[in-house]
Amino acid sequence: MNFTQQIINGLSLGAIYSLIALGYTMVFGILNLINLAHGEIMMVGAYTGYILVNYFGFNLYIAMLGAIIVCCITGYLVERFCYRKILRGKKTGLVVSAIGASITIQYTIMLLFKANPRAYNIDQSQFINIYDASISKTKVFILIVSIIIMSILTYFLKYTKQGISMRAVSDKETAAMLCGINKQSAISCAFNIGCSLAAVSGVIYGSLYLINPFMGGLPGMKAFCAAILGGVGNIPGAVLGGLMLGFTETFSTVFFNSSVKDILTFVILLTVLLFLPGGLTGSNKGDNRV
Amino acid sequence: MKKLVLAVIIIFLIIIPLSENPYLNLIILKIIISCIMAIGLDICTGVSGQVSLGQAGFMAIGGYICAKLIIINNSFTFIIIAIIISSLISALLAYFIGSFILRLQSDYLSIATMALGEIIILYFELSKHFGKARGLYNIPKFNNIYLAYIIFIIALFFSIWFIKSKTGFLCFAIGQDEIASKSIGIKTLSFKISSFIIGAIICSVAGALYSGTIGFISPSDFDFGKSIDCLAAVVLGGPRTIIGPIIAAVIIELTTILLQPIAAYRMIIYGVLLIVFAHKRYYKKG
Repeated sequence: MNFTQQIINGLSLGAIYSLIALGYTMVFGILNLINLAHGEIMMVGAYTGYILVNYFGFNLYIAMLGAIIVCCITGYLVERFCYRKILRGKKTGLVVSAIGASITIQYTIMLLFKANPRAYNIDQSQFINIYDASISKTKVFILIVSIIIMSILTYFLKYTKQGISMRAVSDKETAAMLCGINKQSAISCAFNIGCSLAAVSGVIYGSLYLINPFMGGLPGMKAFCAAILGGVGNIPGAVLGGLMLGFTETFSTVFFNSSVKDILTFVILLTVLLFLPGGLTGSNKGDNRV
Repeated sequence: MKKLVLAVIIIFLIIIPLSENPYLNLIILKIIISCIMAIGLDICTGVSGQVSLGQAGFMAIGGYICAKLIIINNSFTFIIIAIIISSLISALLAYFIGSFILRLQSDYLSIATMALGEIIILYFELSKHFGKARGLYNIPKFNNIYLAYIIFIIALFFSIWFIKSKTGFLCFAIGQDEIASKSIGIKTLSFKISSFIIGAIICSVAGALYSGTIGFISPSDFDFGKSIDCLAAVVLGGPRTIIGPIIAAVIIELTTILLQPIAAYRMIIYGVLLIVFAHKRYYKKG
């Protein structure tokens, strides 16, 4: 077994999970709502990227920009029609509504593109050799993009006005509104950021693996697991959780076989939910969970 | 109540002659099985408000274990014993896991049950004894319209009795407001567990009947879509009404069969309906 190679694989898988998990965390942090349709929004992003790359011949940057626009529109529709009215009601309604949204998006895409898996038409043959491992240029690009996005996001939330107001709303909604913060704009902003992250991660996922209308399910669940593992509503936590999950999966594939990794992920999810409600970083967002 | 019994008897008399045709027979059995599933989930989700998305997992346990036992010995008494054993195993698992995960609040609970269902399916997919991804086949087709109907009637009357019983009322109170019911001294956890176990048992019986109807089972028969169908029946039919989810389950199963060629359109309509009904049932001003 080539150890360096496995570490690189774990890192690139972990980067994807971190990006999706960041999307979950952004929406959860402000709305206290698990956006179960997040995986589907990511899928929409992946298909937008597929069209832009394969039919129009754009490169991945432009594909990402296009995907961000389409995903923000989708995300707005989901938020407007599935969540906004029942946000203050019982959580059960939100779960059912989100499942309805996922099914609708999945099968609309299936009608448009048929169910067969597709691949991006990009050059994957260029490799860079590091020590005794080789890494494709696409993966290097992905790692760089994710690091840039994570740092921009941290800066945005910590130092800009909009970021601070979003954190205020997530801390105490009523008090934030009393201070003159526009709640709805903060919520929309968080949702848009979450959808943009989903779009970027969708394009990245598509450039590495095959895409199909049901791809949002499993990676979505896993990224959710990463978000919980790192402490939901916490940006460094999501990154940490994503990377840990990426490494766990890569190494469990090496040591056992590839289907054990799915069981392992779900067992981690259950264990963390039950015994470590705050996640690894001890986030206090999940206090009302148990 | 009397009207209900009458309706049930009339429907039974109508479907007996239909069951001569093997294709119709299969459809009727499938409909009865999804009705049983809907009753099971209605007790868990409708009455005590615990949204479970792992119901297909319990169905898989019922189907696999019952099939495994029946392949060994295929006499009538043994079939009954096999169904009982498989549902007991489901009940034990539901008790063991439920006493942990039912501490979670609504949306986390649904995630946890979703994970539980996936773990069970993945286990059957990996296990050598259960035929891996290929599944089990050559299962004796023991199920017929009488057996399915008798079990359906038992489940129906049990659930009606359960809703009217004291336990049912307490469970309903928990489903409405958990903190308030805790504060008047109801042991919420144990009631939630008991309704979860009942849901699991009824679903695993449905799974056992399923394996006896089709004759072969594979992990893909019990995917996440089954749990969604089940939940949709409860939400569309109206939680805690028993008769509503049954009617909804019949309609869902019928549309699945009739609209087979345009399945994608059906699923889109289905998704939109879920959103609309979620708004209708859980809308709260303020």
